[in-house]
Amino acid sequence: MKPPTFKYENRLAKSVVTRGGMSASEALKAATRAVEEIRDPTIAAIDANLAEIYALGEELKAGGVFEETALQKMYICSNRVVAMGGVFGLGELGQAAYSLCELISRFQTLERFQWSMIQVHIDGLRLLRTPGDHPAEIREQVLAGLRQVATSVN
Amino acid sequence: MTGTAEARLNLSKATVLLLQNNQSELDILGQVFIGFGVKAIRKCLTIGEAEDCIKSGILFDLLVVDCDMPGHAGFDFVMRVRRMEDSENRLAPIMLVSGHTVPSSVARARDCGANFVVAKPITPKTMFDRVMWLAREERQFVVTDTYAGPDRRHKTFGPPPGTKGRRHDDLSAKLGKASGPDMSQSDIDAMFNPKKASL
Repeated sequence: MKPPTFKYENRLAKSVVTRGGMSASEALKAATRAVEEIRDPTIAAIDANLAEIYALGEELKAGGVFEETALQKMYICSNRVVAMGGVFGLGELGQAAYSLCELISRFQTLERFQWSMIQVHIDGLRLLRTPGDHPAEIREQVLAGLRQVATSVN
Repeated sequence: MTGTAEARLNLSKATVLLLQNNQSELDILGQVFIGFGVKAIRKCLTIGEAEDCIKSGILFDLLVVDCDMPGHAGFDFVMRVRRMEDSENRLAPIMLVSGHTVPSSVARARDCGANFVVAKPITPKTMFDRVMWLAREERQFVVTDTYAGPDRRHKTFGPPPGTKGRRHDDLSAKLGKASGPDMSQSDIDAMFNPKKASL
């Protein structure tokens, strides 16, 4: 009988070297430069996902009932904003999107829905899309409020 | 100066597979690895593309898999890779990247056989730290009926006191009585301060 546990070669281990290659600071500098090359299309993708969230919000508002498909689409768009926001200085927008994901996830578990809770998240996303226009204190308060709203759904 | 050389990463010969659920996130990840000097990057948007790459005979040094694939298919993909007994890729380090995680997915992320889960957003700093951590990974590989992947225990403290371990190399955490005389101070010193033998 083969033992269930065995040692194996970690193919990535040979990448750790003491000479050649890149130090942490060199790698970070090069990667940051490379990521910067796609700033514009990524910001455009963030805005496209935000636009879809806002449109889905209108749909949910008009329907006024728990609508699984629209909520799931909103969750997917919001999760993409989580993934991309923090890469280009929109970390707080990403946190607000994370809170919206948490809210939707809780709605889905309970199969219920409250428009005002979505609305406040959409307002938060709009505000945090332009963080430079608002003092840090306000942004922190908005985020704290959104987290409180999302976690209040039980 | 500490006298200890800083660890460096040379990924110029590494082959990396990236599986992400949308083009923008895939591009971000790709740019991060280009910045790290990786020349062979396979970018996949679907599970099908990624499986074809895995089965194509290419040996991957790292797989980065999105947790947020439709239907959480990323977890199933990792489980299938870990069970591919005819492919060396089953032993490749696998990093999961996750945005918001619903509670039902947390256990799946832990149990699918990945080495590590990293929260989005993926910044160069986060990714560099995690790649370095994975490169130093020394956990053993476990294959059972219900799990295939790196040992989920990051540290081995032995089985709980009073219980017998389930594995052949499990040692009890409880210390037994000394089986021989104590070491002398000079023996201990010699262990910490080795000298060249004069022949």
